[in-house]
Parts: sequence; structure tokens; C-alpha cells
Amino acid sequence: MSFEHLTNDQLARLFTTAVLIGMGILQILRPGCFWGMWMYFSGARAGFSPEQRERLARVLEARERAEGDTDTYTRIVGAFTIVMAPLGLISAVPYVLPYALSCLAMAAAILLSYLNFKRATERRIAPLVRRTAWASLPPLAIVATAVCVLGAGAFAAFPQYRAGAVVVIVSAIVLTAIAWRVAVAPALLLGDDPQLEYIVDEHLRFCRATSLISLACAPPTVLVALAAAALPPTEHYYSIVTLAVSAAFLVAMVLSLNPFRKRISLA
Amino acid sequence: MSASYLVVDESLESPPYRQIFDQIRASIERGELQPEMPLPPVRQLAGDLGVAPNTVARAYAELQSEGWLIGDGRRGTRVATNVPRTDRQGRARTLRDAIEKFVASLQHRGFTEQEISVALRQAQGDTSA
Repeated sequence: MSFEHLTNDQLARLFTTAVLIGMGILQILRPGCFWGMWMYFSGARAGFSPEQRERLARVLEARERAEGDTDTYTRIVGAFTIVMAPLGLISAVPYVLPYALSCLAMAAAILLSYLNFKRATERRIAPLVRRTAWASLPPLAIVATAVCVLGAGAFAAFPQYRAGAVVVIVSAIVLTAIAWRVAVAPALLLGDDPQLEYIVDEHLRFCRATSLISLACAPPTVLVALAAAALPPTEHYYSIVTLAVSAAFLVAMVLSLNPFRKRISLA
Repeated sequence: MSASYLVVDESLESPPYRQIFDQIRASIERGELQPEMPLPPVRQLAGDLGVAPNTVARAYAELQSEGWLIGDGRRGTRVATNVPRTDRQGRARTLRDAIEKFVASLQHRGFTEQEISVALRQAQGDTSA
């Protein structure tokens, strides 16, 4: 099979569609590897004693029950992603639209699990500790997202990328807003083991907000990378923009790995 | 890391602002909240407890007026540097008042003095076991 007769735009559409279908299938088959809360504690609990692991498992199981079945949400997002994928093949639709929509669906699933938890707990426990959103949402990640959004905005100067730029900018802003909402969300403790529940709540808040803000950088970067590849090499200004967006995306990706490195200590 | 925790129980007779007031004061008295320690902003605590911001604001205001907390705009609300001294008699009176209110609320719900007394002894036994 040869792809030589295809234009850059057609190639980009085929690639996006194939990636989305692959991602959707993975979300359905292995939901836990996307947003499952256990994965955020795999590195954190490395130094735990068996008793501490058991205690953590109890708290995570209780929280999972209260948040609702997040695996089901991820599977629904997977099915949605697969349904959206063929949209990328329609030439009238910006090819980044289905990708941006699938990212938004993922963010909505996280927000939904928070709302479920809030409704699930009648007895409310509050830690007497002052929190700031910046502890969960690194300012560098916000800067990286801003660079990606501005970079995508620069490509709106080309009529063929205008609609795509609008789509990715809107999706990045909405994802950032959801990340912020997660960062400032109330502490959700059940009260059975408040100390550990509070540690888990803080860790999950950090992990989810950081992952969401990193995800916000992805759609603009995809647009910029594919659009820049189709531009003539004389467009030096856009090469610089592409470089800046790529660097910002790299920063966001490194930050998104923080949750897996962050250790927690049990007193 | 250790933190103090507040619980608001809607089923108690005591209004939520009073529960917040009592628990913060008790945390200061026990030394869990040290002088100058910052407290969460009103909106944060109200969100965590699922109560209206006015409820927390009222508790903070009363704690400030009694000298337990101090608040200045930019630095937020903190535990006062010199908290009021609670003498033995004062503590005993506070405990007696709390128990009387608690017993009255249970009697209001139809429990007899004997039932309450037995349940309290059992609960105490469970705690000390």
C-alpha cells in the first residue's frame, strides 16, 4: 500500500483517525492505565510497609467506591473517541476536532468523578490547612499551555488552519479551566482514616490537575506540528513558533511525569 | 504531616457555626493549632465542610472576638499569638455545658436518662479498650 499520492492534509487526517481509534480501543480494553487512581500511587507507595500498603488500599478502595466506577467513564470516553475518529476524514471538518473533543471528554469524566464523590459523602470533614491552587497546578505548566495556545493562534493567520486553531484554543482553555477546578476543588474526606484520606486527596488533586494541564497542551501542539509540516521552508517566523510550541509541550510532558515521581510519606 | 480536622454533623442540635467554633477552640486548647498558625480561608473551609461561607465567617468572627484568632486582610486568619487562658474551672464548665446540651438533644429524641447513661458507659469502654 502506498501513501505517495496523498496530500499532507490527507495524511494528517488518516494519521489522526488511526491514532484516535487506537486510543479508543486502548481506553476500552485497559481503562485503568489512563486515569485510574491506583497508578498515581504506584511510585508513591514504593517504600511502604505491608501494613501501610494495606491501609492505603483501604482508603483508595473507599474513595473509588465514592467516586463511582471511573473505569466505566474511561470506557465511555473510549467509545466516544472511536465514534469521533471518522470525523477526521471529512475534509470540511478540522482534523484536530475529534482529538480535541476526545481530550475534553476525558476531562469531563474526571470532573464527573469529583462531583460523584461530593454527592456520595454526607458527613463532611475538613482539614484545618490552608491550600493554594499553585501547589497542585505548577505555574510553569500554565505558561507552557499559554505558549501552546498562542502558537496555535498564530496559525489562524492561514485560512486553511483558522477553524482548527479555534477548536484547539477552545479545547485548551476548557481543559485548563477544568484543571483549575480540580486544583481548587474542596477536600473530599470520608472520615474513616482522615489523615491518610487527606494525603490521598492532596496527591490525587496534584496528579489530576497536572495531567489535565499537560493534556491541554496536546491538541494545540498536534495542530501546530501538522500545519508547520505543510508550510514552505521560507516561513521562518512559523518555524520559531513551532519550536516554541514543541519546547512548551516537552515541558508539559515532563511536568505530567511528576505525579509518578512524587513520593508520599505516612506518619 | 499531621493536621487537625473539623466535622460538621447536621444531625446535632448545635448549629454548624457553633460546632466549627467549638472544634477550632478545642484544637487550640489541645495545642494542635499553635499560635500564628494560618487557618484556611473562609471559602475553602466552607467548601470542604459543605456549609455556607457565612457559617464559617461567623465562627471565625466569634473566635476573633474572644481572642482565639486574629485576622488581617493579606495574611488571612491565624491563631492568636496569646490565646486566652483556659483555667480548670473554665474547662470543666465547658465540658459540663457540652454534655448537658448533648444529653438534652438525645432526650429530645426520646431516649431515657438510663439508656443514655448505659450507652455512654459502653462508648467509653469501647474507646478505652
